[in-house]
Amino acid sequence: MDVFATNFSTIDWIIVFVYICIPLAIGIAVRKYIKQLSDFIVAGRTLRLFLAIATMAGTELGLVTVMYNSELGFRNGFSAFHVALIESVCILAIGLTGFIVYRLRQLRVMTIPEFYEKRFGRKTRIIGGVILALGGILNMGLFLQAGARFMMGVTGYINPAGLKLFMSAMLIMVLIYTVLGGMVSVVLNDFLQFIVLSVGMLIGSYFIIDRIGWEKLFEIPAAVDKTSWFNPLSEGADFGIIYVTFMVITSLAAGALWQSATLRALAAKTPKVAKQLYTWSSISFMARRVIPMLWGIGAFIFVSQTPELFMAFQGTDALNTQFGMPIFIAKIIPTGFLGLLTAGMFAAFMSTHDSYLLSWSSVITQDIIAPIKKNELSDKMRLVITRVCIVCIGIFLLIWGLWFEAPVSLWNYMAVTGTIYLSGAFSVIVAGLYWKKASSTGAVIALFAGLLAILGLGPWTRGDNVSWYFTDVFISVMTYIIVFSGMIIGSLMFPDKKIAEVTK
Amino acid sequence: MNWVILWKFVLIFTFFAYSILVIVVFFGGIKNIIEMFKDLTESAKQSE
Repeated sequence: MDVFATNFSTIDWIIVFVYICIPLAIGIAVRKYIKQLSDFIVAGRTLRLFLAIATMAGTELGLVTVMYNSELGFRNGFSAFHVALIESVCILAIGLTGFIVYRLRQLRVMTIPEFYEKRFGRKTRIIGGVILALGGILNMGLFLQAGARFMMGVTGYINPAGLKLFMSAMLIMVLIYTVLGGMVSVVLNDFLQFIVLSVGMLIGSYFIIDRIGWEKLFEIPAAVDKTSWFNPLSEGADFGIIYVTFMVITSLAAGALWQSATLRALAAKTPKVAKQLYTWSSISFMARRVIPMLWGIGAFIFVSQTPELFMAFQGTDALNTQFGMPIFIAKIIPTGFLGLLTAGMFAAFMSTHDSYLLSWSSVITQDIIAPIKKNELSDKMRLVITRVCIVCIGIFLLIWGLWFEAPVSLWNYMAVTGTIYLSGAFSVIVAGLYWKKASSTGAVIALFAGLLAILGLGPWTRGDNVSWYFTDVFISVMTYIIVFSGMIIGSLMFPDKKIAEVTK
Repeated sequence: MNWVILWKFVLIFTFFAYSILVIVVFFGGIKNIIEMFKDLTESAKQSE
């Protein structure tokens, strides 16, 4: 069997091209509603519950999400499900308690570093803004690459130069409609994408279960370790207790404070809606991981039963494991439906990019440039700067995303780059909201300490015989511990003279 | 601990709950979009 054989045909290409033009039309159509900065960044805080759920799911269910989760399933089997379960429980806990998000929405901030200023002063906001933008933009760095791999696997089109051009064109389209329509166009596209992709994923799962068989799905393939296929804590697994601990911390921190997701809570009509949003979203957070992981598991079972495919993933010239799922669905999902599913995936690609571009550009404008200019910028000027930043980030992504190779597995890269920002932000926000003694010095120490997570991307983390204390996961867990210690010790040793208004 | 039963339950629950969520969000979301545009039109008029 040809590795890149596919059911993707001309009709599928037509479906994809027609479908991806819709967001552009929406961006142009809603432009007239964007009159002020809050319309652009938080849709004038007009998001009601169901639209907020759709846009949250649309943002957090991107093509890259499908790719890294299917890769986890492909490599680790059902044991990867623990990541989904932990994340879903954390999101549910945030929704039921209102942990962090309720207070942030009450304070009517538009970005997370805006809270830093209210609580710890302008300097902390600028530092926090720089670190947030750095971690966030780096985190987006491999989205294009993952998208290109999906494209190759599904369409069977393996000319690298052509793919790069195609992905560049996709990114340019995203830039245009995000620059034009801001958050209003983002939420409408997210809604459309949520519905199309969700239906596509559910039907796609039917094809996969039908092809593999429900009972066969739970039989352990001969090529894998018998215990670690199901048990994430087993010694043979890629996971283990440190990894599970890291997932708990990351899920709680990212659930409450990942700027693109938190932006939905901040755009919610009321603080109560922000809480409800998280409660309901625990289901979509579970699905965004479980369904792609299932596809990855199905892909591995299929590959392990097909010697030609199995060989392609072995040896020194082995295909990247991200190819497992797209190669699999290209062979089992029928023509026409494959086009719809691919269109849904590209819509997902676009909706994640638009939200992330909007998030990081608004952080640069609101939390770095405006405070440096001592808030003398007009609303109109901020809108212009935000739009320029969107384009600049887009250019960076084109260069970084298309020409650099992933240093570690896709999910680990995302988790580690996320930790650069999340570790500092989590400790600063938790302490800032719930601990009166938290001081600005402690906050600055914590934010800088978060940069230690970059060590998790170093060359010492790669290879087969890496000591446990040099792994990216251990470095990330240690970063959280150091950051929290820095926040506590710094606050106790250097208390603020004045208590901020927001803690009263 | 029987991991197979746990993951089977997670998978079935996800399919069931997510299908319901998609239906609810579809109808509720359309209503919310209409309301959002009403709000934005009012806000645009006020800022003119």
